[in-house]
Amino acid sequence: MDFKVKAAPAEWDPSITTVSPQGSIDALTASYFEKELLALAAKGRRKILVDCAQVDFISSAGIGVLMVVFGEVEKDGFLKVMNLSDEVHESFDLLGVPEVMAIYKNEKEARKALA
Amino acid sequence: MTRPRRLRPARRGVARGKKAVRRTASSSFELRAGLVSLREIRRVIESQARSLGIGRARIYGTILAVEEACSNVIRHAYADGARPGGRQRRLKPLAVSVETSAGRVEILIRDVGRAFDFERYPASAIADLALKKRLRGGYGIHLIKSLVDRYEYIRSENGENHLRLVKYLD
Repeated sequence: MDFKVKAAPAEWDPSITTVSPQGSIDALTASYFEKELLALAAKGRRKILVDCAQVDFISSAGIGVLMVVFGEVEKDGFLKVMNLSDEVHESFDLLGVPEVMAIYKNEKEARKALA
Repeated sequence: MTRPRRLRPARRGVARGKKAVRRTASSSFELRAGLVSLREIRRVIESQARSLGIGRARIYGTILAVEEACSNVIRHAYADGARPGGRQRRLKPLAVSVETSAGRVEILIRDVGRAFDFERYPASAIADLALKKRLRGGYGIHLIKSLVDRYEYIRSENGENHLRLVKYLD
C-alpha cells in the first residue's frame, strides 16, 4: 500500500496542522487515513488543513473520512481542504461537499482565509 | 458457487491508412473481491484509455464510478469479503469487463453476492443526508449515477449481479 500521511504545524500558523496524504485514498487506504486524522484530533490538533496536492484519487470512502473527522472537530476546531485536482474537485462538487466544508484552491488562498 | 462466465472479447479495430491506430481496446478479468483489488481495476481502465490516447482527466469520472461500484460489491454484496486479515482464498470473485473506444467506455461488473436494487434508492437524498449528518458512507451510489451516462443493473437467473456502466467521452 503506497499511501502515506504526513502531518506538521503550518509554518504560517503553528496552531493549524497541515496534513498531507500521498497516494490514493480509496476504500482500502481510507481507514488508515481516518486513524491518522482522529489521532491528531485526540492529541488536541483540532485545526486541520488537508493538503491534497499529492493525492491522485479520492473515492467516496475518502470523502466519508473527511466528513467524519470534520464532524469530530467542528465544535472546537475545523477541517478544511486545499489543492484538490480538478477531477477530485468535481466529485466533491457532485456530492455538495463545498457547501459544508471549505475547499481552498491552494495554500495562498487558505492562508488568506485562515489568517 | 457458479463461476461467472467470461464475456466474449470485443473486436479490436484499426484505422485504414498508412498508420494503423487502435480504435478500441477491451479486456476482461476476474479478481478476488478484496479491497486490495481496487487499485488494479483502476489501473486497467486508465491504462486501456491511455493506449487510445485518452488522458486521465477524461477517464477519471468513469474510474471513480467503477471504484464505487466494485467497492459496494466487496463491502455489501460480499459483506465478509473486506474483513481485515481475512483469508484471500475465501474472497469471492469479481469479474470486470472494460471496452474503450475514442467516444465511449463501457464497463460490466459481475459478482455472485447478494442482490441489490440499484434503482430503488434515492441516491442524491441519501448522499445529502449523509453529508449533513457527517456520515462515513452513503455517497457511492449517487456518485455512480452522476458520473456515468447510462447504467443498468440486472440480477441474472443464475444468481449473478450484472452492473453495466456506460460513459460517453467528450
